[in-house]
Amino acid sequence: MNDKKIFQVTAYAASVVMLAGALSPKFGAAQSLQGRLEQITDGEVRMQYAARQGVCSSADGFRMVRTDESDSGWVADCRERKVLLALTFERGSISGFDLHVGGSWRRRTDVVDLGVVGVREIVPWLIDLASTADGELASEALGAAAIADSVDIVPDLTLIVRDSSRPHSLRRSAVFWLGNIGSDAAIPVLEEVVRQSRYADVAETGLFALATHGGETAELIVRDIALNADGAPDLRQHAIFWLGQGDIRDIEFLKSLFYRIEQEDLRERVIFAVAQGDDSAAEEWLLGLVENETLAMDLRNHALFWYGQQGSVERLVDILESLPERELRERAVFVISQKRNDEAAISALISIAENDAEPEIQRKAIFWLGQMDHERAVEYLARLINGGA
Amino acid sequence: MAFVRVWSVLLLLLGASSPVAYAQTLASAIEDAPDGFVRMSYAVRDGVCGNGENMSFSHGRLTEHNWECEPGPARVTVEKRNGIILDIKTRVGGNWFSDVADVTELGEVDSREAAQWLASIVETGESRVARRAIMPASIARDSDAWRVFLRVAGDQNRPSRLRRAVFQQLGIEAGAVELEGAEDQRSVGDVDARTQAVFALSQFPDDQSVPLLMDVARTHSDADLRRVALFWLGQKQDARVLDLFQEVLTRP
Repeated sequence: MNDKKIFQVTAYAASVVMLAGALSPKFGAAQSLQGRLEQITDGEVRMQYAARQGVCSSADGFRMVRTDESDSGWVADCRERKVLLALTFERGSISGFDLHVGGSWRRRTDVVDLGVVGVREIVPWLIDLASTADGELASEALGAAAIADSVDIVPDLTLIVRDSSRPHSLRRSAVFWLGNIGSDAAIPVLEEVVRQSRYADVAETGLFALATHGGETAELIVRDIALNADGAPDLRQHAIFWLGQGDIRDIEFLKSLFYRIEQEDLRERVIFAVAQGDDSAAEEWLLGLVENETLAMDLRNHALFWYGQQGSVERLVDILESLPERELRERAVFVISQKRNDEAAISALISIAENDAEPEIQRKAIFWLGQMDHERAVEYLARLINGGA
Repeated sequence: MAFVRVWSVLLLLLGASSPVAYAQTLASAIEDAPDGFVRMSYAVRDGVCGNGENMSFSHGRLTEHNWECEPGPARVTVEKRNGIILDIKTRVGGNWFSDVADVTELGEVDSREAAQWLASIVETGESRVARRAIMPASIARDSDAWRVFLRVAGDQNRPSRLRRAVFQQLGIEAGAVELEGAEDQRSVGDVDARTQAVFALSQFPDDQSVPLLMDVARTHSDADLRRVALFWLGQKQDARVLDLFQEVLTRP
């Protein structure tokens, strides 16, 4: 990077007092990044530095990805591993913090462009900013440091997490980034946070961070939290939730957990967590719960609801026809009705309205046909009213 | 039968013997009353009863209560401040509260005159007070307040909340007409499913549901289904329905 580019300051900018520092002779290549930034009191400064692997550009900013392609088929753009940062200074303080991954700035003549800066210079400066700035700016600075390439910031993040004098939001932000940077060194710190934090939201962020980090060790910790009968119920609920998601999803463990816990609300969480996948094993297990007469009706209802989010209308009709319990049968009609624009669902509801042996179930089907917003439903209802159905 | 309208000469005579009848009209009596509370009572139509706290309205069906439900009178309290009507409260049956100050007692008044005055409030009063006048106007014996309600429902200049409430009342009253003398026509068996179907139909967008519900209200052989269709049409606030309401309410 040549000096001309680094000190690209225009005549327009020269009229702005705030850039006086940047234009001074001592603002040279030999000067540290910190020194150069300290001289700026007003105006915008742009810079660029290398991003760590897995930091990819996205429409709404950037995201951390483990693979380039998500389940939806969306492909992250991870080719440009560069962070673009613009800082706005007002009277010596930073009033604007604009961070992007990839892309380029629109050309402007009234800014100072520092060009590419070294990560070993910018990261300490950002960590220092995170320590001295307030609120959102501190968290943004921490995030900007965390996505820089080739710098181990686990020690810095750990210091922040453990320092109770730091702002709560900053500590939570540090926990978040410990999970995202994917370093195994972060796991013991995250475990400590989850098990010992006095703040529920920080502990929950720790669980999220462990789930984001992924891997066997992280999963074992989350499992242990879910199993711990003496643990805080809310934290256990979060652990169960995360065991149903992404990298640490573990259906077999969740299924066994269901029968090892007694609290109904936690068991409902397990049902929800299992239902988050679209695998047939999960569906069959949920169906088994629906049919299990030894379980509480609320749990069977819950399982039926979540089964219905993935299961076919045909299977739901089978359930309706095979179950004797009115409550479950009514729930089955409701679940069928939730498949809104499904022709099979309309047909099933009409068939139930016409043929079910229980008038109450027929009426439920008629009720839900009224919510379907479908021409066939209107036609059927008109026919029924006029005695032709 | 309980729902048969009784055109009672006796009640008219009772009205004529009330304190306000000879001297002035009900409207001027209320207008001339000082600030405070103006109280009046009047006879209610068949199917309306209460105990001073609870009220029960039924159209054409005998309703059983596990509490003593007196067949009237309506007890209406009009609250005035600075000559303006602030509120209208209605009870049926029971007794007047005795510990109320600033009361002007109008005593028992003619139910039709009460209905006319209350309907005039619906037509011209401030939105909230006008809404409070709908029910007492409609429960008065021999009330024809629905004629005013039809005008208000079609009047785009009246507040929308008031028009919505009036539409609903018209749906109920038109449905009540359908049930007069219709008990023997009621079918059994699948009537509940059909009633549910009429409700279900009402849930569709107006363009789809209003014509179908109007068709049911006009042509269906089951009076109760016609009543239900009219009720749900009353929830629609659709101008097309007003002609149907008038048609039903003016039926000889």
